[in-house]
Amino acid sequence: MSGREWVTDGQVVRAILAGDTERYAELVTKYRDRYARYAARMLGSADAAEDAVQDAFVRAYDQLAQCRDPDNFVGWFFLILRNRCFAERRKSKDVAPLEAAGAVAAAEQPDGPVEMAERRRALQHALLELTAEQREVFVLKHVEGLSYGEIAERLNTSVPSLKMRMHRAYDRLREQLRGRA
Amino acid sequence: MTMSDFHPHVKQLLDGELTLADLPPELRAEGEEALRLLAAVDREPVTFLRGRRGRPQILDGPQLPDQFFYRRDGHTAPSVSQIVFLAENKTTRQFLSSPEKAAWKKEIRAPRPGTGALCPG
Repeated sequence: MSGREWVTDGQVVRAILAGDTERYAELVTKYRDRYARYAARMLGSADAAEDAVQDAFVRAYDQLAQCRDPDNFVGWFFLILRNRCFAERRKSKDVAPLEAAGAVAAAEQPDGPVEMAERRRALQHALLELTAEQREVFVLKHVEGLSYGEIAERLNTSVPSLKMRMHRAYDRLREQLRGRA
Repeated sequence: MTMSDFHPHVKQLLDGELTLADLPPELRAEGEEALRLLAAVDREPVTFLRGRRGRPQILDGPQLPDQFFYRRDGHTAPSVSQIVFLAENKTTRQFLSSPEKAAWKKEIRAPRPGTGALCPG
């Protein structure tokens, strides 16, 4: 066990702001993989996700002094990454999303049963047809496993509005998947 | 509500608020369809290609933490874009919108030297 494992994010952030910039690597190491999946599912491409996470870390580093609650660095970072993902989706929504989704599904399920791999691919395609807001709530709840309450806290919104978004997403997914059947 | 909309009770099933057994018999098939949808959700972790990229060889001083810059295994030549960027000591924000960033991205995706093969990164 290293001597730094007990250190809080707030302590790390304060150390960085005091000049120990190399310690930012601790935050990158701790959170990069955690948010890789969120970004990959939001963007439909592991490559785009890597760029988004990387850029979000650079932006967070650049704006670290503006992090009002260093102990909640991760919540603040998530919002930066979220904005980055939304911006990327707006920018690239016309750029072959289906191929990108297929690439993610195929790359990550090389040995799975064919039928399941196909269903996953179809669902990933359907997810990309949702609005970014609908897709986000679906990803946070059903991929990341957060409760509506946790998502509401993270996105600073209400549970009823999240449920409305999610329920529209369910209907849209069903329509999309039926269209592909 | 259209033909393709899930019944509100089935949405509660998807939300985890009801179980299949809670649904009336006439909604069981729809409930099973909904659960098949959730079963197809890919929850596999996504790991970036960190393991196939090393640490930079040339960074020193108070610039960006080295994890911002990935380098491929076996690629020991300094990155031109990094050198230009760091020599000019630009801020990270300037870097994000700079031509150097595009060059850097192109570099890390270029064919592996000597093999002609694309690096899996």
